[in-house]
Order: sequence, then C-alpha cells, then structure tokens
Amino acid sequence: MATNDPSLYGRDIRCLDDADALFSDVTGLDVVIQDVYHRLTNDSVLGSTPDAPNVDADNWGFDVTKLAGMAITDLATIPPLISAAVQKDPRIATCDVSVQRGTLRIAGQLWSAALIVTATTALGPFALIVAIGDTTVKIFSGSAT
Amino acid sequence: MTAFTDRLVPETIDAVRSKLRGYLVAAGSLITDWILGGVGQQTSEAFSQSLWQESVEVSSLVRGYASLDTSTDPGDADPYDPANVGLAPGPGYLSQKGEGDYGTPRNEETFATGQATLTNGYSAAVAFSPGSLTFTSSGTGNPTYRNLAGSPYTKVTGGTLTANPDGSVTLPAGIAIYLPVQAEVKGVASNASPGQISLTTTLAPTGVTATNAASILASAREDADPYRERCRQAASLTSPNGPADSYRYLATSARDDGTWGNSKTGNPIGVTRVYVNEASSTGIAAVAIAKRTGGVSAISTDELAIVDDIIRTNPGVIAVPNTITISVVRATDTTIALTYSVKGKASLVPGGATPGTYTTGGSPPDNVQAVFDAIQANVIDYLASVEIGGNDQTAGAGYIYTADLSTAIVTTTMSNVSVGLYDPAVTLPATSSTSIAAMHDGILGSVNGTLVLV
Repeated sequence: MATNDPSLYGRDIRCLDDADALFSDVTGLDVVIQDVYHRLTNDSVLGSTPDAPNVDADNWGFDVTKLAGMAITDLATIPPLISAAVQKDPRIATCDVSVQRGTLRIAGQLWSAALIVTATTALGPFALIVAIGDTTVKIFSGSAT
Repeated sequence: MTAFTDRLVPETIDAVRSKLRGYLVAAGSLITDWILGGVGQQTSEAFSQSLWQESVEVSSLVRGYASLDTSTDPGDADPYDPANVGLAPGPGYLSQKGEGDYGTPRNEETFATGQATLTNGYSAAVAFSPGSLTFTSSGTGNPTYRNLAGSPYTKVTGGTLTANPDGSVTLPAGIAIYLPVQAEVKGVASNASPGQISLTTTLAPTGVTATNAASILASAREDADPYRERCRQAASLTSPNGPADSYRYLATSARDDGTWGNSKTGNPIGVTRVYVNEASSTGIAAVAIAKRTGGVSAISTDELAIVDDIIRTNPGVIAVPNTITISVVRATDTTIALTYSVKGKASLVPGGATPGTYTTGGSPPDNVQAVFDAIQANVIDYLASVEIGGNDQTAGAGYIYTADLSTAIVTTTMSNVSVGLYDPAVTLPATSSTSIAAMHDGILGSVNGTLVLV
C-alpha cells in the first residue's frame, strides 16, 4: 500500500494539456487526477540529470498516444503497464485497468477501443477513459457509454 | 573559499533547485505539490536545469580564461569537470589561451606516417596513384593507411618507374619501392610496428604485396601540463636572465621544417624534455633533449640538427648570449629492463578474460594482451614524465625509483578506466633504484610481465 496522506496532495497550476489564461490552480483530488493524466501522456519528465534525485524520471509514465492504431488483440498486454505506471504515484492506492473492444461512442465520437482506468486514493476513487482510434488517442474523465 | 574560487565550480542542480524553490516561495507562489511530474515541479525544473546549465557554462568560462592551471581542452583531465576527460580531444579554452596569450599553439596529435615496401610480384606492370592503395595493420583496431605521393619514390630493387600523365605511376613486374604512407585517422592508435601492415586494396592484382620494415608512428596530443609549462617558458624569450628557459621553449616548440614558437607549418619534432646544466664556469652550456620515447634512440640526427640550429642561430630572438658556447645533444638513453608480476580481476579486463596466469611471452588472448600493452604504455608514460637525469638530481644525475615503476603498473588505465590491478612485484630492476647519469634519460627495455587474473 502506498503512502497516501491527503494533506500531501497540495496545490498546483491547473493544466491538463495547457494552463488557462489566469493560471488558475487546482487542489486536492484534482491534483492527483491531473498528475495521472500527465502520467498517461508522458513516458519521461524533467529531472533525469545525473545530479537529480529523481532516478525514475526516464520511466516516469506511460504515454498512451503510442497506442493509436494498435491491433485490438494486442491491447490485452497494455493494462498491466498502465496500472504499474499509475501506481508509481505514491498517492494512488489501487489502479485497475480494463479493456473495452468494439466501436464505442465517447463524448459524441466513435472509437475502436477504450481502456478504463479506475484508481483509488485516500480522498476517493476516480476514473479516466483512454479512447483509442486508428490515428488518435484521447483521455476523458468519467465512464464509457 | 573566495568569491573567485566559488566561480570555478558550477553549482549543483540540487542547489539550483533549492534556490529557485526558495525564490518561488518568497514570491508568494501557492504551489505546494512538488511531486515529480507535477505542473509546478516541471515548470520550475525547466528553469532549474536552464540555470544550472548556465552555471556550468559560466564556471567553465572562468576556468578557461582565469589561468593556465585551471584551463583545459576537451579530453584533458579536469578536477572541476570529471566528464571533460571523456570528450574527444580537440582545441578548447587551453589551446585558445596558450596561443592567444602566450603565442604558443598546442601540439595536436598527428597522422601516423612512415614507409611501406610495395612489391610487384604480379606478372605484369601495375599502376597506382597517390591515395589509391589501402593498407591495414594487424595491430589493435586494425587501423588503415593510404599511400602518399613519393618525391620521388625510392626503389628497393632495380627497374624504371614510369610517371603517367594522369598522375599515376607504373610499377614494372618484379620491382619493389619504398612508399610513403599515412594513417587515415589521427592519433597513436594508428601506430604500427615493423611488419604489421599489409596491402588490402582490392584494386591490386594478386602478387602485389606490401609490408613495413620500420614503425609507422604518430605523435599524441601534447599533454596539458607540459603545454602549460611551455606557455610559461615562452615569456623567457624576452628575459635576459632566462636563457635556459629560452632553450627549453625553442627545443620543445621546434618543428621539422625549422620553424618554432607559434608556427603551424611542418610537424612538431616532439621534444618533450630538455636539460640545461645549471651553472657553468667555462661559459659552455650543455643542452640535452629527449622525446617521450627517448633521446638518442628516438631523435634522428636531422631532428637534432634542426633543434640545434633553432637554438644557436637566433631565429628572431637572441637565445644564446654571445658569451656562451652551447652544445645541444640528444640525451643518452639508459635502458631499463622490466620484469614484473601483478594481479587483477578477470571481470575487470575489458572484453572479459578467464582467470589464470598469463605472461607477455605466452601468447595471451587478445583481451589480456591489451592489458599488457596498456601496462607497458603506462610505464613508458611514466618514464617520459621523468626529467632528463632522473629524480633527486645532484649535479644533473639522479635516479628512477623501482617503486615508481610499480605504481605506474598498478595505475594502468584503459579508455580512462582503471583496470583495477594490485599487488605489483617488480623483480627487475632488482635494486630499489636505477641510477641515471647527467644528460641521460630512462627508456623502457625488454619487458617480461606476468598477470595473475582471479
């Protein structure tokens, strides 16, 4: 079980793909959700210099954009990788990832598959949907329809 | 520490991070999520790394231009920057400072050059042009060489060479000539011992062969410390009280076309050590010179004549005062035969090795032979660092201590990495020191080594 003190969640700049014009902030569980979103869009982060203490910065996350166009049958190998990447965040208690195959309608768009990422923290659970198409991958909050 | 010495060393990335985070807190930043990968953490990390790189550059600049002692070129050992020694050797701050401030360019590494013997054993004449033939050495790394133009070609056996309009030369059947060759890559890694090179070009018909009767040698880049010393000696050219340093400077900067100082024509003769007798009641000054690999055995009479001429005939400076008679000679080589044994870990031998006992004369595997070669090179480097006359001199005569040879053996490195040798035992020289007479230098003689790998 990871260390999971809610008081450590802190405050950060609100930024999924970009910050807003006012550089508004985000707190609590949303900080964790935002960081998991970034962990699913970046393999590595800054801090990997020899002097840096962050020795795992090169293998920090799992960039799901490389799943675009992946054969449906191959997707079965992906959930453990994503689960392991998400659980590198010490605030994540558990993370389950399941695969949904077939044509899916998510937020009004059609996708060929989706990965449902469900994680729990001390402040409660949350879910992210990794929608996978032939040429694009997009992450949504909520559940698949 | 002073404000100046603080500038010699770059800040650590951790120090920069801490400072920047302190500034952010002082500026009222509300960010408290500093987990790796957070938006605020990544934003500040981008600034931290930029500032850190700037700190590295600034300290490098300060070291580069502050003094000869702190300045380095890429590839030199730098106590402030451990990564510098691993860079490809080339001109940098030190070369720039030495040439700009002291008018003394650093001697860079050269192409290995020498002579091959090309024999046409084919049944008909064969034509070749400068650069058209390729030779390969059987030595480590199998360096390659190309033929240069002969001016003119020297024949080993009789016959007539024909110069063709296209610049090629026709070599009749049964004729052998000496062919000047040059390595394709600079550096001593392309050195070849006698008999190591052979013709590999596919353009030559069967029967055309080549070998080398003499070594094909390059000069390594001048080490940093001797270069710094040479830069300082350059100032002695204007000093009426410092002719000894003048002689040293002229000898060590002498080039094979008769130029010296900041000349870039020709190639460095490669004199690295100069002895000048300290006092003379007769007005006769003696100067002995030696290269890295020795005196008489390494310096040709032509090279001695060039150095002698540069020192005596005051080419632009008055190096020799009118009241002085000067004698320039090659240092006499005192050959030191070496028999040693040393232990090491088989796992540390580059490329791997099987535990066991190996000897230099026992045709060891290539990886082990490479260790023997590195040990020998390290001992030669050590001997080359000892002044003419040895250590602890009295009236120009001193000693080379056997313990120092042991140290040279165990401090052997390969590709700048220690081989981890230990427990050296030198049985020859059998005494604790070897006497080196005045104007003599120590060179390595026959070597019998035993390497015990565990």
